[in-house]
Amino acid sequence: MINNVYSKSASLALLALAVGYGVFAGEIPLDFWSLEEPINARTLPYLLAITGTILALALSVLSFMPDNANVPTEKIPSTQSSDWRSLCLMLVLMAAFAISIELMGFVLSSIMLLMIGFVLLGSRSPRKILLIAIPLVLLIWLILDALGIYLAEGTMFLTTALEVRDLNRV
Amino acid sequence: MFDGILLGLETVLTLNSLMLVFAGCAAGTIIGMLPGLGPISAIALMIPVTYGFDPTSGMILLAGVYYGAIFGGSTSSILINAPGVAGTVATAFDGYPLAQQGKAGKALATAAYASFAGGTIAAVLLVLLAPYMADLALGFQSPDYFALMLLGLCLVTAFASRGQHLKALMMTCLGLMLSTVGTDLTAGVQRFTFGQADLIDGISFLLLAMATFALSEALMMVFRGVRAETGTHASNHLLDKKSLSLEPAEFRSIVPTVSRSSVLGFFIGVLPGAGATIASFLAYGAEKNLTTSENEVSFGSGSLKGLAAPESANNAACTGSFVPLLTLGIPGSGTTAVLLGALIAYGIQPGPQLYVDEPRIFWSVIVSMYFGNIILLVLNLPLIPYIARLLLIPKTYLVPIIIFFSLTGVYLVSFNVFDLYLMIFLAFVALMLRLGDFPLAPLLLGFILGGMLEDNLIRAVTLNDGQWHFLWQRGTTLTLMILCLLALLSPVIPKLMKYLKTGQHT
Repeated sequence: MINNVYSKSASLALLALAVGYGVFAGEIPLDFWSLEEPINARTLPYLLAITGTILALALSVLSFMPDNANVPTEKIPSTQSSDWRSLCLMLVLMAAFAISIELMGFVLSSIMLLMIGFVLLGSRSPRKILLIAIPLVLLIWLILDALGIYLAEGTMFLTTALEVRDLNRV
Repeated sequence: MFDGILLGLETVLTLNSLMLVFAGCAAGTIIGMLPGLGPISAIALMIPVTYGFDPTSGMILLAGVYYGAIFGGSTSSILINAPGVAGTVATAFDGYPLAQQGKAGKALATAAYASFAGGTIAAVLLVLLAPYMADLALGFQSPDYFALMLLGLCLVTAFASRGQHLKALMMTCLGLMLSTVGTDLTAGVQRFTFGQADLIDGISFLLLAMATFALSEALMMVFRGVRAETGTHASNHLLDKKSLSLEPAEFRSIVPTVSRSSVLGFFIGVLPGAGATIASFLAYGAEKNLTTSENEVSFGSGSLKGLAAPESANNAACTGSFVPLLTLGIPGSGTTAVLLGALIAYGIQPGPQLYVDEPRIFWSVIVSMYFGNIILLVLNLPLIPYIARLLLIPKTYLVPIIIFFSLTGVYLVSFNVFDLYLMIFLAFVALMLRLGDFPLAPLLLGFILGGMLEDNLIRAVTLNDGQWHFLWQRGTTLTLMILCLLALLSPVIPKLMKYLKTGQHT
């Protein structure tokens, strides 16, 4: 089965998650009165942990059976044809966008996200890259600015501006 | 009812509302047309835009996005055989062969007329049925609500694809688990926050919807190898389109098909968990069985009936899914779950009280559907050849743009970088789950219903002095609980019957 590896791994991960969820459910802080109540903040999490563990266990067992009934409905690419490199790079790029949005501001970080994203996915035309990324971000920025929505200006520039002001004072 | 319709007309027949319906339909068509992006992604992407609006305007816009996205999905199914969502897969069975025969214009026109008829017939049925359902639901108590929500969740798994029932159940459970993150509103204690202040208010539904659908879809495209996609394979069918008109005989031949499929689609849409996918496949199957004439083009090779049936059924089912949403506060599908989340975000309490407390929202959403269908027809029929050129955008550029809008959409609501990290993590998890063939709509449904389910459970147990006999004390609750059990056992029942049958023979 094409997606069996993913199915097995996901089932096992879900089993671990359900068990861990149950363990942490026991650590939900309750006062004395709540402990005496027939239903409290731990009740649903306990029920979910039990149900989740049973379901994940059943899925794990089924996914390891040679002739299981989990027939894939969507054709998923095999591990060989999957592009892990691009996926990882895209995740790193997204994380970089999250880090940089407050540092560099909305406009620069967004332009960076788009331009590097285009290059990562195979675009080699600097003209297209620039002509799509910059106008798109500026358009969004202008619309949001007109709507009065705050956008991160970038602490980097704010710090620089303050330093320049301090230097001028000196 | 007439007062309600007049109230709806009064709200919708303003320049502002009509422009919102127009904008919603246009945005929905464009987003829905992009391969991989369905109505859930389209609505999730548009929700941040509506946060500045009043709830009525927001819901009108989002409803427009919903049926616009379904229509847009049909266009990509017909032109490039790439259904944006499962609900438009059946459209491709005959739509794509028609496009390959150089009849793309005819196919698009048939889809537009069928969608219009399906949506309009269903909107009439919605007007007739919704108030009665809401009146009936007003008598519901917390045990009934608890059982009803449980039924909604069980039905989603019962209607899951073959081999996915257990996985759908697991995803529902995971969604419920995620809904418990944050501060418990009854006791005021923090659950599963791990000392992280950003989790005290729980996970935002928009973040989850965007991560599990729009962002994970974009990541899936990257994973599948975007470099191979050029987008030019669509050009042949886009360029050789003939006129967008149907001959009178062709038009007459699809009228009965459209009528039957619309009614069938509406009632399937009303069922929680069924939705557009099942409606379109059932309508296609039913029409295939009903067509006996030897002169007819066979189904699967470019039959206009084969295209009209799923198209009218999926649009009617979309309208039908508003019945449980507006009258019971129960989403019947992933898409209506996102709409329910939007309602809650606007500060509106969904449920039968919506009909009493917020009649303007209730009726204006229903009335806006008529206008939405008209606008879709008027806007899309002449513009489709031009809008369809969006399909030529290479995924190299499309994917980073989807990622940009998803991340920005969530950031602009919370202005919290933590939400972006969480979103990236959840999108990756969602991608892995999709690769393991786990359906994600039940996760979203479980997440959105989780809070309400727990509230009603606590209320029911407290009102019954800590006893759990409320589950079978009231007739309504008992009936709903039995239906839950049947829904849960439905995937096993046929196998059990078969086993018993063969057991008797041997």
